[in-house]
Amino acid sequence: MRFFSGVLLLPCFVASVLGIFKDDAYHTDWHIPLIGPSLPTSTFFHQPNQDSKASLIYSLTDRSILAAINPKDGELVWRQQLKESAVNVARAGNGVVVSATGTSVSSFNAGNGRLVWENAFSQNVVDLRITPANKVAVLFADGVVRLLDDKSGDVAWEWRELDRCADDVLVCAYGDANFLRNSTDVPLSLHVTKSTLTVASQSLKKLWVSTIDLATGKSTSSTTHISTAADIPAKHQAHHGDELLSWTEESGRTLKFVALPSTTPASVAIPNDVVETVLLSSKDDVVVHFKTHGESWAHVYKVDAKGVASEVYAVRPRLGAHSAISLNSAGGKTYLVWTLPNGETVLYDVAKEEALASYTLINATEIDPRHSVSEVVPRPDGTSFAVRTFVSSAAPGFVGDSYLIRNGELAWSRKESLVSVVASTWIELLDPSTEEIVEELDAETHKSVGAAYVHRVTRHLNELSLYGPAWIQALPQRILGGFVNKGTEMPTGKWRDFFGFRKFVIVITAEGGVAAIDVGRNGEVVWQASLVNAGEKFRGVSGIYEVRKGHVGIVCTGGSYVEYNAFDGIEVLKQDFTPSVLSTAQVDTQGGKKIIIALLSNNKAIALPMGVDAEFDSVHLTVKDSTRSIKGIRVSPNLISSPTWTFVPPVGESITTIEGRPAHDPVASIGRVLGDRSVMYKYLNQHMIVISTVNPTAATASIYLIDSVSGSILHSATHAAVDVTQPIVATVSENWVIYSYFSDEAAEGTAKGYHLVVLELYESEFKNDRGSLADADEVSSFKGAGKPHVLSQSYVFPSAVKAFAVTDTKQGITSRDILALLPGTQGIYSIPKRVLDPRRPVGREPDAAEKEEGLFIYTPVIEIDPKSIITHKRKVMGLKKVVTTPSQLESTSIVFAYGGDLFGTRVAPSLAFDVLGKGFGKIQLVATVVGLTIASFMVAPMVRKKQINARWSL
Amino acid sequence: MQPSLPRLLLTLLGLLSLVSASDITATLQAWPLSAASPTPVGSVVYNPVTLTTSTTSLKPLSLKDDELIRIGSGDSDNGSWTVTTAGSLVNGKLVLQLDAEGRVYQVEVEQGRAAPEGVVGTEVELSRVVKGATPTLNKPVVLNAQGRVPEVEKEKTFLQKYWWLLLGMFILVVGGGGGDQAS
Repeated sequence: MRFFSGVLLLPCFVASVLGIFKDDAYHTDWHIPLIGPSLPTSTFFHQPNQDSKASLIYSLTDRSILAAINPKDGELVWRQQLKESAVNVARAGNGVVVSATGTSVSSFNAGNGRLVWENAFSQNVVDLRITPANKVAVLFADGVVRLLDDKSGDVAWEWRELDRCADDVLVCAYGDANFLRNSTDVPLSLHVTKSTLTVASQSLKKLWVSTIDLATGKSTSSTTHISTAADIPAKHQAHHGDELLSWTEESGRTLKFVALPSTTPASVAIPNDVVETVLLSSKDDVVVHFKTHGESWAHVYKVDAKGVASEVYAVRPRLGAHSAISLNSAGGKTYLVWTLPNGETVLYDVAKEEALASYTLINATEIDPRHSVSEVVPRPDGTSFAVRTFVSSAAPGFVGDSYLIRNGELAWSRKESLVSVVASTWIELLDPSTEEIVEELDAETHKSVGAAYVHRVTRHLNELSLYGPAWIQALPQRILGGFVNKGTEMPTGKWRDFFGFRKFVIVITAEGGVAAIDVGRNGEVVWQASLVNAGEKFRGVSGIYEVRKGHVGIVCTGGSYVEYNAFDGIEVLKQDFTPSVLSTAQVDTQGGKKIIIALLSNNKAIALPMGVDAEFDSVHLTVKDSTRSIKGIRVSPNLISSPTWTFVPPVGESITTIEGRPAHDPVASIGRVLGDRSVMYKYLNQHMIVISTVNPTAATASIYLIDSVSGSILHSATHAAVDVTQPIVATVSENWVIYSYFSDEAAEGTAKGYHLVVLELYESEFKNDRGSLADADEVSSFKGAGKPHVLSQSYVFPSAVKAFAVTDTKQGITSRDILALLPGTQGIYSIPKRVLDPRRPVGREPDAAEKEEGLFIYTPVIEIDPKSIITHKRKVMGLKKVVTTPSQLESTSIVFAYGGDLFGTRVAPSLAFDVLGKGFGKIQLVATVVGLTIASFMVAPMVRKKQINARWSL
Repeated sequence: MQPSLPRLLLTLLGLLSLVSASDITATLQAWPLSAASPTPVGSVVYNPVTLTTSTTSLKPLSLKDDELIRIGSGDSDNGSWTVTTAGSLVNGKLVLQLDAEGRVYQVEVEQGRAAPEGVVGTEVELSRVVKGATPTLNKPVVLNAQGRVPEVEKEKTFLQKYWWLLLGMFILVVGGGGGDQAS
């Protein structure tokens, strides 16, 4: 029994040592929750319940996240990650927000975001509306309309008359006529009036409407087509309510709308240079908003009781391609809020042509609105208004950033575009203590010993006179500051703090935006720039590197190289080239500079920045050709690229992932010292890459360790009964590889579940032996430098792993933690490397030598201990990648995670051994020393007197 | 999990096909980085089941020792190629990577462990894909009909089992009458 308890306790013991301290949580880490770009028709102001006065902003985003935002400060009240889908609809109900993503419909409590009900169907949802009785009417892709109960989500009735015409029938009754049937109906939208539902669908290039009685679910009239010309479904954005149905004629130059239940459409000609048309409506007021590349304007229409629309007035054009209009009804009036590219807001009453109010944005920035929603409250004086507008931006590179403009004042903004970060690099900040004297130090190294000595003494004297007085003046304050133990404040600008916790991470969004995030100051965005111009499509990034101190170089796949000053975001250099880029690598030149080698799609190589005169050794790049082949390319010093090796896995296998060793991967010791003082030498190969393949027919997954110079296989292993649909994730560092896959139960003797496998590579299977490399002065991959001896062990892990990262410290002396990104909101889990050690004894207690080595008995399952989740209580969502970088402290590694939310923290895998903790009491220490000194001075005469008395008494 | 009959048959069939698998000939090609196309340099005949090579024939290459060449066994477009020097091909060990069916999917050169000087003629190694590590599970506890962990009956020692026999023999030996001395 004791044996078992010992086994159980051991992992707990290990984990509890490495958990996060309570006083570090929320201090050393930061988290920016993001929801992504809001969808125009699924974003609205809405009261969480009928009685509440304040409303929240509800938004469903293109990341399928439904969120409630507090309009006061922009904080998320709640958010829910729904199933990711291309079809996303959200509507406001009474006390609930109902959303549909893909095939499922769910209703959430508007106040706290709790799920009220969820109902999944077989077809995708096309449109969703809330009826006056708070029930949910849903239109599906197969043309079926279902009414769902507001309390349970159960289907109240189904209407299937849209698809009554089977595909194989040539002639069928459709509406009031017989038609030759060659295409299926495409359901478009759903409209609710007081007691009826109207379904709009398209068939035979015509628009049809069917009306259903809400109470019974039966058709009230036959399907009729309401347009004579050939129509296409709305190409414009339709931000309108239930009563309006709009579409565009096939020519694309006529916009039509009809105010239901009328069936006579009004038509509006779309001018030729218009690139985007938005139609908005609120009850019987209709606004058509036109945008060209240079300006935008709007026409306001009023629909009368007969359903005939007539133009009331037109808003004169204003400059700027992007602007957004929103309508809001308050106090019986409908207001039109127009947000211009520079953030200016103009308020109109739809009944009057002259503007009611205009607000210039005080803290003006280019907002480039894409769409907006607003809330207008007329103040009691009747002439002034409280206007707040939630704007989603279309700024190039940063599509989806959201702003709240309150009466011409930018209340808050959310960087929602950073939800799509795809690449990142770390930027070292400057050391304030050495930066100013760098040149002088450099001068000293180039002088003779005598001259350098004189130079240094004069420099020190100069510094003494320059900084000395100020230093002495600041001394009392510094000492006092040391006692008060207030948290050291992070510096700003381009300076790093003493411990190097402050670094910039430069990120690139999927739309081509570049942003510098300050990980030392809670993820603040320091600067941002765009790699694309307005209207341009970003083709992706091939490489992002710190090219020299304070400069970041970005290679865009489309064929351009851009260099920014990493501290202030000023573009230093921009070079364009053709054709597109396949792969990039950063190399050190013989002069100690860093350049980027880019392999282009015409198999030519170029050195970036172009025109740089640098000599470098041959570079080996790895390019994934297809799922069946990976190629090695050698770029020679004169920039001639030649294909070297090709890896084609065995028949039936397709390549899924490729991972290489990180660029900064210091190795503190080349061997591993065993308990008996012998050494096993690590197999360290900077060119080692890991390739994972899957074979769907045989349900196997294989892992290949390949030398990326020669292409030879260093080690390979195959796992049977693998669920090949689940991703295989791998990471490499030092002399080990860790990967995870999902094992199905089909294989005998294995456990169904996620497995973590660790491979450790040694030069030889024998102790104190360097294998085939024994006495070699130099080793060449080309000559077959011997195969490593591989130890491996596998563990069952309770969760899927989305990505791995390995903590990175300055010298690599600190033990490593493997950071596993768990899907969902589970966060980032840190596993100490010594848990994943293939030398752990299996089925027996470790002997004395093994214990000394720090090994403990093998347990097949690695439990997830909540204490080792470095995101602790934070609900992180959508993270895709974790990156690490060393700080100036050997114990500490800085972590940044992106891909959805942004999260940053610091971890100390071997605990913070080189820095005093927060609990260290300087006051107690000094007080003790002072107290002891005083006491010894006081006691000394007494002791002396006692001693003298003792002598005399003899 | 019990192996189903079709699965068993399949396995058997697989084994049969492997056992019956006759020798396979793999053509080796060398492709200098400077050349446009590969040239065959010889062939290796091997048995994919026993992992033994029967014949190896390699043409000498008329290349400088440090010239880089690609070696492989497939065609130039779809095959795997690894890079080595012409010299290593002669002196080193040739490794043929075999897939699950025993076909060569990659050829590479490995420097033999302390390759003796002047040995010409390539040594060939066949390398089959290894099974990856799987978790070493604990043994399941089998309960008896009462739902308890069955107590293992201790095996009785020879003495415990047959003491009465030994006792009988002892009595017989001790109590057995000696020779009829009187007569």
